[in-house]
Amino acid sequence: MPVLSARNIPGLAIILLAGLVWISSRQFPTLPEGYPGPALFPRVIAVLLLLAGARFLGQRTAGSASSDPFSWTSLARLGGGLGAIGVFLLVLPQAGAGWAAGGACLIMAAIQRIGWKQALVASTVTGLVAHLMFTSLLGL
Amino acid sequence: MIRAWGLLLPILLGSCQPAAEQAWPNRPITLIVPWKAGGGTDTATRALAAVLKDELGQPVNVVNRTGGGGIVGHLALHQARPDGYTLGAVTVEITMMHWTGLTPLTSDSYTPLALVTINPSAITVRSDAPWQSIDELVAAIRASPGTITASGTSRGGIWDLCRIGFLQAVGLNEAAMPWVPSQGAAPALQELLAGGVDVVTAALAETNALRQAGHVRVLAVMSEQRLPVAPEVPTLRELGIDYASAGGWMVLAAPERLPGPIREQLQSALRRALVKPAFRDPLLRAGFRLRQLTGTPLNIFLEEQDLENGLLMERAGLVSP
Amino acid sequence: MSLLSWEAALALVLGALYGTLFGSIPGLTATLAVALFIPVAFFLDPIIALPAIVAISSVAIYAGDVGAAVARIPGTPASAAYAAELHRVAQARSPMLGLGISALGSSFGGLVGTLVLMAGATALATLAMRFSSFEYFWVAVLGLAAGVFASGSRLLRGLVSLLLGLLLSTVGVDPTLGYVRFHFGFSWLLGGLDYIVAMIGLFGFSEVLSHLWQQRARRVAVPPGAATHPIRQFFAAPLRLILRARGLVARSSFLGVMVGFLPGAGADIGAWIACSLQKLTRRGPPDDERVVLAGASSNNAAVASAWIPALSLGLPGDTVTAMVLAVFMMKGITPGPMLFAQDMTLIWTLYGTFLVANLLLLPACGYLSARMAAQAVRLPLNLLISIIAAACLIGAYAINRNPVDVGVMVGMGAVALMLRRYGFPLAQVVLGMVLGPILEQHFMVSAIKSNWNLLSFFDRPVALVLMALTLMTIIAGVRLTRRRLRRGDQAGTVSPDSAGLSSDTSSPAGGDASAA
Repeated sequence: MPVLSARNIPGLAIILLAGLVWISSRQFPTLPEGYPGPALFPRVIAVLLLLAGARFLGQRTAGSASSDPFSWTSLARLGGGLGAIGVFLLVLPQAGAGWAAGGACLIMAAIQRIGWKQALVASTVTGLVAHLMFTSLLGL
Repeated sequence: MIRAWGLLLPILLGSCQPAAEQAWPNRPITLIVPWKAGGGTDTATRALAAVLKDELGQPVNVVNRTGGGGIVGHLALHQARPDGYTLGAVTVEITMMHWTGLTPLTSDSYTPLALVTINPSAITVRSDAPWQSIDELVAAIRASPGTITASGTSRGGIWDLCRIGFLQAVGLNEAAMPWVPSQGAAPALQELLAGGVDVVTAALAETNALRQAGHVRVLAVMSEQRLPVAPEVPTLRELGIDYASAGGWMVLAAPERLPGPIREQLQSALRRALVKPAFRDPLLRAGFRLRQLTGTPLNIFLEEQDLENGLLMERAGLVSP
Repeated sequence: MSLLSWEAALALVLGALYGTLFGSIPGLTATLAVALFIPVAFFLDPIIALPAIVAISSVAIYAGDVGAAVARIPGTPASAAYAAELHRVAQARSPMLGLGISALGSSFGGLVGTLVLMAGATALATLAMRFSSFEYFWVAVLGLAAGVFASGSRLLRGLVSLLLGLLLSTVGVDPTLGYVRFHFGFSWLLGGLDYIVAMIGLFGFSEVLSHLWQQRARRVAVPPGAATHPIRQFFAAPLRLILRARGLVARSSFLGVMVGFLPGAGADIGAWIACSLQKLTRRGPPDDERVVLAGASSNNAAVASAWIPALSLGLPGDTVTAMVLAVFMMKGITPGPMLFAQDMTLIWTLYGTFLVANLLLLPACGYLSARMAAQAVRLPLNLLISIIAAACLIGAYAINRNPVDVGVMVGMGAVALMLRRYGFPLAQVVLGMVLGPILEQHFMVSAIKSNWNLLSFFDRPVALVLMALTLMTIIAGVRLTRRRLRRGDQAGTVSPDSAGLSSDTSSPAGGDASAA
């Protein structure tokens, strides 16, 4: 069984994470008396992660991922989702959190190609409710 | 359908323009608190917000930006726009954190407006502790250094500095009463009750509920005068120990480069708000000390505090080179 | 003035409605609801302000489950323990039933908590006084063990998720020296990661991302009969379940009370232990409804018992009671034995409020919010996802009003997508983030206090009892899980949880207990 097979991905990723944590914890200072201070807890976690990761390597079911086929439309939709987040962050300082959320809702609806009337109504309602709740009531 | 979207989006995004600026203040004001809800700074800020609202004629919202031992909130206030709509509580930690190299922020990174509260440290022990007075406590520390432990906040926090200052004043080494770090005054008091530590040096405002409930005893306060809420508790000076410290304090501040007119408007509003009984009475009852300080005296106070705390931190070996 | 005055009654009802509204929106928590009410409370008579706070916090904790039922976004770390189960019940049966179990379970739990508060406040407070860092350390370990065993037959995956959560909790300033860990030079990481923000990302936004990726554009399968007989579904069916599972409700409420009265430990550990115990000791197939019942009742039992140390010692049990104490002090009310000796009107008003809030307001507001939830899940899935995305964004921003948190939330959503792809549970990550600081802080304090004499962890009687309990839990948990695995219970372990809101009801939607 090759080490670098798909089923070993979780185990290897966990071991890699554990190694990174251990290495970065070496820069942490120690307590005045010489006992480990800030490094102790991350190191304990790293050791436990290492053990768990090693346990995964041998397992048959470890890497069984759900099978979503890759497609460019999926990627485009995810990119659109990032766009919605961008719109939220852009509108936020201008018009407040409520309308920013409404805008994000609209973009999300657009990516998913909902009928525009329905999307407009839903995002206006979302924006209005969020605006009343967060901006008017909480002063966000 | 695509065309419909193409038409709609620019219109919707374009409609989100900021409102035209009128005379300050024309919209709600935000107060950033770098500590969590329910703590001393939070309580005082919320009480202040309630009276400041009437003075300014706009809602004043309190926001807790916690974490990182206060850095996060202080940083958020520093980075806010100096337009008078974001103000915040700047606490004693601003004169301490830069010494350890944790942050470059100092009190110069803000426009200080007014001193709101001062919370001197109170030396608190369990009510069944054998020491009835400071003298007995000091004698016990001298007899067996390192066995009596103290707590109140994290290592190098303000109550830790008060402990170091007190020990120095009685001629003792920093290790004579070691510090046990805690995540604030409430967990330290829990430890005190459970017998985990012997002394807590947090402010009276934090220990007052337990004191009135009879679970703890306050041996002395580190202020210049006795506190109105606990007139029977002596100060260290009265007991012949030459040490007094402002302890924890909170200054209402704005980001750097606040326009002069807004600053003056704010300062006069604060001067009126800070003397209102609706603000003073509840805080005094809760054990806070209130002292009004604005303008140049406030700047001098901040500089003195910076030096004093820096000196204590250096003696404790907390200052990074 | 008493509870019968119309002002107090009005304050109660308004507080409950305000709590419902707040709790059911992701990002707005019970703590935030109370914090915003505090400036108002300063000006009110305490006999009006305190009932309002009780109503807000009791109802808001329940209302956090509304998000879990509609979109699998839990409102509190405690409700993360049963969010997946609640979401499954809402999908497979009906949101009315799921939220009915949650509301009536909360109601009963809150009732038990109130009765304990009335009967044994002073006695329990004396016990709470004996808890030092050693005892807290063992309680946190017990919570971690419960978290692992709540992952059903996939213990290893649960453990990894938990470790991941613990690791995430170490970001930021460390509790012993104030050294900043894992900030990678970003100033916005100095304060660490907020677990509520992470929770919104892990549960809510990962759903959005996975939906975008999978492009399934069908409607939610609203179960037949979900819309009929809302009252029967909300009140009658859960009530029957509670009567059938009396022992479970009593046990879970008891657990909630016992952990809830410890200052600082909070409701979370209690709910996790209760859920985990239900999953471990069940006979027969996994029963989502009972897990929800266990978690909800324990969750709300802790709300009342958090007041025990606040009232009788003057020590805050959680952030809400810390604010209550601030109101007390500013009004010149002294907590402690004096309060019970002198101000019995206030005490009885409080008790009465707790009873009214749990017996009347919680079911009533619960019913209202469940009706809204039932309407929400009937929306077309695409539209619901859009609205959930907006709610996640604004919720993550609202917690600290920090745009950076939006990025953290999205990042956690992406992490959750990977975790779900390989079948790792998500709730354990939240538990790890909550317990990490408690665990580390109390371990370090204990070690420093005793000069690194680690034997002192076994010195104190209460600590010893807690350690024994923890060890017993671990041993019993491992044996029960083994036995279940031998019986061939692991059939479902291979199917990773990639299904989400859009899943049909036959596939497990993120639950590990479904491994049967």
